[in-house]
Amino acid sequence: MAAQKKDVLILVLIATFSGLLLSGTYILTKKDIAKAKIEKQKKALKAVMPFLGNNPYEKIVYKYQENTINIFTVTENENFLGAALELKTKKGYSGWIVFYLGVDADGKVTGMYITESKETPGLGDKAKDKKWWGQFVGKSKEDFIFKVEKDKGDVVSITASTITSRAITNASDQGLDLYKDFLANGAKTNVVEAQDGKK
Amino acid sequence: MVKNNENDNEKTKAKTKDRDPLPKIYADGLWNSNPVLIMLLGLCPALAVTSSGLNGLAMGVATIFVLVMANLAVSILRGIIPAKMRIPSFIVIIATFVTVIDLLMEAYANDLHGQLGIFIPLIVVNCIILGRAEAFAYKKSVWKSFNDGLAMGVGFTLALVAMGVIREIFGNNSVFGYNIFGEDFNNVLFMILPPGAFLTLGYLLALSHYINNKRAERKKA
Repeated sequence: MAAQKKDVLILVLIATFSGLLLSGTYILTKKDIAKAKIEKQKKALKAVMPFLGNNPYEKIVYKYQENTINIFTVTENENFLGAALELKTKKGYSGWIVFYLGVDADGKVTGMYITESKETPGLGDKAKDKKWWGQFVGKSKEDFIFKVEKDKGDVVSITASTITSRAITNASDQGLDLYKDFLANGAKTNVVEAQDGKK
Repeated sequence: MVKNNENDNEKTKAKTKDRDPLPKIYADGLWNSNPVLIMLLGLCPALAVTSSGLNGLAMGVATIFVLVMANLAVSILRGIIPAKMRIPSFIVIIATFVTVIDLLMEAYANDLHGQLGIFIPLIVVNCIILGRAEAFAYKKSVWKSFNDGLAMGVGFTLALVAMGVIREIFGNNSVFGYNIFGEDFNNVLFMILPPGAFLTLGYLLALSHYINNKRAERKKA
């Protein structure tokens, strides 16, 4: 009995020390993790919106049909320059793909930046390369069908990665529909919550 | 007879104490009982994350950290941890350090952390770490355990980097992200996919055993 008590006591002690160490590390890294996440977002926004510069941006949560997404709108001297759409899709090869799509005020795509994906390295992972998403740039819903070629669209798929290409393309398509609605109906309706992106 | 046996045991005990000089610890970790190539431990990360040299290196470094820290902690606590409770204790210790490195990487190497994803938390179940805690650190001094962790970790890292680099060269036409053969090179895509991992591991195992056999022959001759 005494030996058993000792066994349990020691395991409890070890677990307690582990807990202390973990909470210490958590407190130490909490700020930096949050900072790294914001940096990541800023990097993504800068990458997809060449017009961003040092202009202020605003985060708007916008709802259109079933989709609710974050739109980061950029204005310069009260002129609307464009926005970045934070898009998500689960239709990829493995798990969520999260990416930003930059669009200017005319609805033309200015860039894409994938922040999260578990697509196969060397295959679907190539969606991160400008070689692939470069074909979106300068295109809008008017002159370009945002569907992969297999679905009778204009988007050339990544070789051997139609699933990934289709997932991102379709998500972009939906995002652009939503953006069109956002431009037409303005920020007046459907805004769930607006938030200042500035510090 | 019994007495003789006991004497033998004592002798072997005394011998094993002398049998772990630092050069041997490092030779074991790096080559003679390399975790991946000889002991075939920790194959899950070795196969899964080595799609590029950098991924292999990052996984290796994370594992070195956990191995060294777990070995240290287990060795320091080896007098306190009762034999019956050693496995749960080891796992708690290992899981703690894995979570620590997970948090640290998320804070200071965010991109890399995103790429290695689930495989960092999975270091907990990497059998090298539990294996070294059980086979080495639980029995040996703190200093030796520290060196053993480092040696095994570096050996593991070298094997992972070798696999990552080979797969990256053939599958992605690059070494650590730098393009080498020019644009026209046809990538052998499946080298980056799971089958390529098994194939690369197989060839590396064959190579290391070939070298070892040759060395043994030369020793005989």
